[in-house]
Amino acid sequence: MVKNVHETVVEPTTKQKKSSLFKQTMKRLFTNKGAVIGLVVFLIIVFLSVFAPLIAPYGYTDMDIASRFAAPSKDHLFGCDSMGRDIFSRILYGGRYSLQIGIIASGCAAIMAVFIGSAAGYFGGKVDNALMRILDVIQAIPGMLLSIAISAVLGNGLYETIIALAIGNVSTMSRILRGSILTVRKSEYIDAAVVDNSSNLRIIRKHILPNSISPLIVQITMGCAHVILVAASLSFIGLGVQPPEPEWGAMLSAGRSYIRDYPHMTLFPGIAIMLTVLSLNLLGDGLRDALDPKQKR
Amino acid sequence: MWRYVLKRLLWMIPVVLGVTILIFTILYFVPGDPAQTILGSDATPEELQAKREELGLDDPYFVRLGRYLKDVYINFDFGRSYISNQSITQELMARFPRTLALCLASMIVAMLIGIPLGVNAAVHQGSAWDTISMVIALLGVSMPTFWVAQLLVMLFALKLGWLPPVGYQNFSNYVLPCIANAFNGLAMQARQMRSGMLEVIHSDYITTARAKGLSERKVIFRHALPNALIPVVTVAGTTFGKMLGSTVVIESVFSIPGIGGYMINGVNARDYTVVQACVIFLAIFFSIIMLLVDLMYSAIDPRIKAQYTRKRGRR
Amino acid sequence: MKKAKKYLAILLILVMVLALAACGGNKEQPKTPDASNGGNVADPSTSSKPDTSKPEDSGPKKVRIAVTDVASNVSPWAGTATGRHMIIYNLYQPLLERDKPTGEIKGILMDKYEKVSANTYHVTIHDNIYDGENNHVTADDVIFSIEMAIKEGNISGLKFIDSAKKVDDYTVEIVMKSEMDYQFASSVGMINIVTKAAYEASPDGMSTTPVSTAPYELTEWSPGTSAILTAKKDYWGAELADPSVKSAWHWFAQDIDVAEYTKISEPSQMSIALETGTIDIALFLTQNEAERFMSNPDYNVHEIQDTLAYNLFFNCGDNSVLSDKKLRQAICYAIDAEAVRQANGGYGTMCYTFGSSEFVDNDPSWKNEGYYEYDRDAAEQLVKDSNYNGEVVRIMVSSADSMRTTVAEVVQGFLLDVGINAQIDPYDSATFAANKYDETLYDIRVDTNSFECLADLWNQFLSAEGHKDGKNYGHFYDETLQGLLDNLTKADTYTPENIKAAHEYIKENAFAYSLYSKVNFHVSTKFVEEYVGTAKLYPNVGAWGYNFSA
Repeated sequence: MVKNVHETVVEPTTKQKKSSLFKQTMKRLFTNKGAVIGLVVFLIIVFLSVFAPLIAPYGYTDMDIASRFAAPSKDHLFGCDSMGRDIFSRILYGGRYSLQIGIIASGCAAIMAVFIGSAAGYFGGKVDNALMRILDVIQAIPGMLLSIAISAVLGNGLYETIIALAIGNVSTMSRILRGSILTVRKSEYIDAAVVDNSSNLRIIRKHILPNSISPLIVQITMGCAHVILVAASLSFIGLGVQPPEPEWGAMLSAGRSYIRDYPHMTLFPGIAIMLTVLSLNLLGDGLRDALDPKQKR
Repeated sequence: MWRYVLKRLLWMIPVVLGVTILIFTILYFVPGDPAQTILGSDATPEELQAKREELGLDDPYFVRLGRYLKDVYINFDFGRSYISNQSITQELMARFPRTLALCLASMIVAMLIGIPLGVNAAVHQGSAWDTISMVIALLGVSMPTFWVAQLLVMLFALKLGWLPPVGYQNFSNYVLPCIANAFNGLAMQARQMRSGMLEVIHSDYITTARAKGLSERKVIFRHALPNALIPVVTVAGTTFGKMLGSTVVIESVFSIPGIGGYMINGVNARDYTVVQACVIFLAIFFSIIMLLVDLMYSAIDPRIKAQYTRKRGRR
Repeated sequence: MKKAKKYLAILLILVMVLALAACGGNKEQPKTPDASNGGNVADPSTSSKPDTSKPEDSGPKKVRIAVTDVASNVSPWAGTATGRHMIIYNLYQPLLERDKPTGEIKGILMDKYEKVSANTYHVTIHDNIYDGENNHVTADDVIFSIEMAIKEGNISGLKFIDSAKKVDDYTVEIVMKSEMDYQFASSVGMINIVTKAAYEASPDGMSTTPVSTAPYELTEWSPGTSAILTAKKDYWGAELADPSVKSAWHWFAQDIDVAEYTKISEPSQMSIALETGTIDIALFLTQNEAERFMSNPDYNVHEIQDTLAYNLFFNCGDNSVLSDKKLRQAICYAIDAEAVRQANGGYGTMCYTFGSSEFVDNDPSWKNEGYYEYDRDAAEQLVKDSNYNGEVVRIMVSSADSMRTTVAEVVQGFLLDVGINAQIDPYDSATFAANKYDETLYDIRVDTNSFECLADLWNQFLSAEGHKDGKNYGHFYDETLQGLLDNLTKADTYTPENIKAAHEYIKENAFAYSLYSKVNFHVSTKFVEEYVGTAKLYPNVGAWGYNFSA
């Protein structure tokens, strides 16, 4: 209800045009310093996590009681935790958990959103009404609280947490997609496709989704960042992923009782979360600007 | 307009009922047995069974749901806590003012910091200032709340001794929690402000104002800002929802006995009548806030107002 | 512009008013007439200077206590919970308590007791006991309380009490289902005594307003959050609050007028509150935070040795790879218990049998015979000899307590080191409590358990007596073991020899393995010089040593 976006939507009809739109978007994205920094930092983090076993100097469960609480040094780049485990290695491995949580949870939410959003946006009428009313109910519960409730039911663990967080994000994403589909739905070429006797599924897949997905992509980026943060809060509450898993939020939460004497135990997981979330947000902001037709001038 | 208000108000009823049913259903599946929690881990199966019957835990789902809905919406009674045997309604009412104060004050802080950052970013669009402002705004939202809270306590309570680390009796007790909580919503405010501002800056009337030879300062603050502020209202509701969620963590760190803290007690003790009541209560509160935001927005923005008038005409 | 400004201004004012009303309106000051020290627990001016926060001579003397949890239930016979332990022993009194390290039974409301047969006791109470409403406490009230406690069914230890009946006005005959004195003492010691008159006069079963024989009353309470206890005037038991008069004198002491409890769940916040003068004492602080104060002359660190031991309960049932005795022994050898203790700061006494060496029936000589001393080679050899083929060994632990998770993590490290594929399954405290005996969920359970003595602990966990499926909590049945344990439940066979026999059998078969008994830390300013607790080590705030000039 904020902006009246309809006026300026330019409709590409052929593949070439689409790729040129993609190119244009990318070009705009790469002129945005923040977005470029965000993208680069995020890719580095992903790279480090994926190749953690090759990079990490120690295993993430390797304990050395003698070097408990060791301060950062040449041997232990980020120091050691209360169990004498190398924090640097744990952060590398932990990235796998945290990124998985962020990416899978926002990805799942997006997939559910595609079904709900396109059904609502495309068919409109009663379907739309029913789906939107259900989303109204879900959205009336602040996301964090919904995640807490679901996570209390499912219990601790990586995949349980992912499900809890994904459900907490479905309604926002569905709404965003629906909004942008509604705009596209009004276009003449969709009417043309309908007249053409194409099946609904085909229309949605071929024409509607490709042209209305961009706000959802922005939201996935932002949602991923948000999910990583909520996961950390869940760890703090005692739900979600719990120590000894090297998930960043769990590490941060486990280190919080040592924050005064051994701040390195919280500093590095905290920074890892911060960098990831920050880079995703910068990237998301950049994408949004790049995809917003109004900024084209 | 009034019809819209009435419609929004009536729509609250099914939403609130829906929320109640949804939360009840989710928590119906919660593992763990309240009887076990009450009796401790050494209780015998017979003792447990007796307790379960006493609490009505063995009744079928629909019976329990019906009883709950009736209690909440007809008797205005959220029941009693399994653990403390206290009236939950009473407890919620006693705690609510603290959570409310915390959220509203956080909201103000978020706006006071977020809006200038957003304006600054928009005015210098594309320049380093733009990036710096947005990074500052995003830094706050990029750190897990409890970490920020702890860092704030260490700086302002321990190192500087300016503010108390825990408590809820005085105004000063709320300063740190509000700042910590405001970090959450700050980015959203700044972001919305920036895009709202950009939209306005590029509009024709601003170009006209510039052409008339007004100083840039005057153009921005007299003409652009007031219009750009309007959309900020729309994200106020969402921001508020986020802050309601993070009060759970904030209240726990600062030992503020609000609803968030109550909920965490409930989660930890598996006292799910309490968790249920807290989520439902906060959801109702959140719905009211969203309603107010919507109404406020439609009152301020002439375009929206016109839209409703048009809609009504069409029907 | 003007319009937007106006809206903003209105919103701002509205919020300010609301915020002020919310913060100022509720809980302004405690009801106590304490203007000098005031309710401003956390006034910044006092927080920078801890010294100004001491109670002054003029007003009532007050102690401000931070606890990890405050009672969310204060009715007399509710189930146990951490928060309840923090205040309940100042609000109610039972008949007696049993000192765990010595086994001595000390009278509280009880003046004396007499064992008239193997399982029957005659308990005589003082004849001058009055509750807060001035009701005289008699044998009828004692019987009423015992029967109510059993009827409410919230305290699981009461299953050993058979019946209670009146002998005369001040004497009650209690018949037990067990012959053991410790069972009598622990069961009866859990029942708070109130008068029938006061209980029936209470509209809500005393769930908000306890009326009891204890030296303090609850003047303000927010469940699970804060509580204020105030000393009763003209207290009947005042003269008993003298160590030379009574061994359980601390149940009667009123050395402080007002005790203010606040829940602070984060340990780091607790110590910051202590350092900034917001509180006078932090109870049950984590070892890590307590260490900060140890070399600081401005604070007292009260170290209290507990009988709570960190135990590894093995699932010896057929579902688990640990049904293999050799593997269990390998696990015991693989773990350096001393290193586990060090990982938690190095406090507490080591265990040399299944259970704490602080118990009265522990034999100190067991220390010399060795209790699975760390031996990596022996462990590896035993793993080889066993039927173990790399199956996952699940360690179940409650994630609520960082010391327990530390134990689990260090144990996991040692097991991985000898080639046992250990994995930690953390559960939140409620789920843990609900599932701790589910044999499909764990192979090793890390747990702490509070019991009266070794015989009590062993019988609770390893005896199959009273279990429907005929198996004990280790999920097995062993006839020899059962015979040895049964000996310990009868007065005439509860002998050092039989205890030794059971100890050796349990140790040889490694049904469970204990690491060390923990220490509790309470840290205070110089204001609190001595921490005094009940037999269960929970605070008796009226009996603490205070330095009012500090």
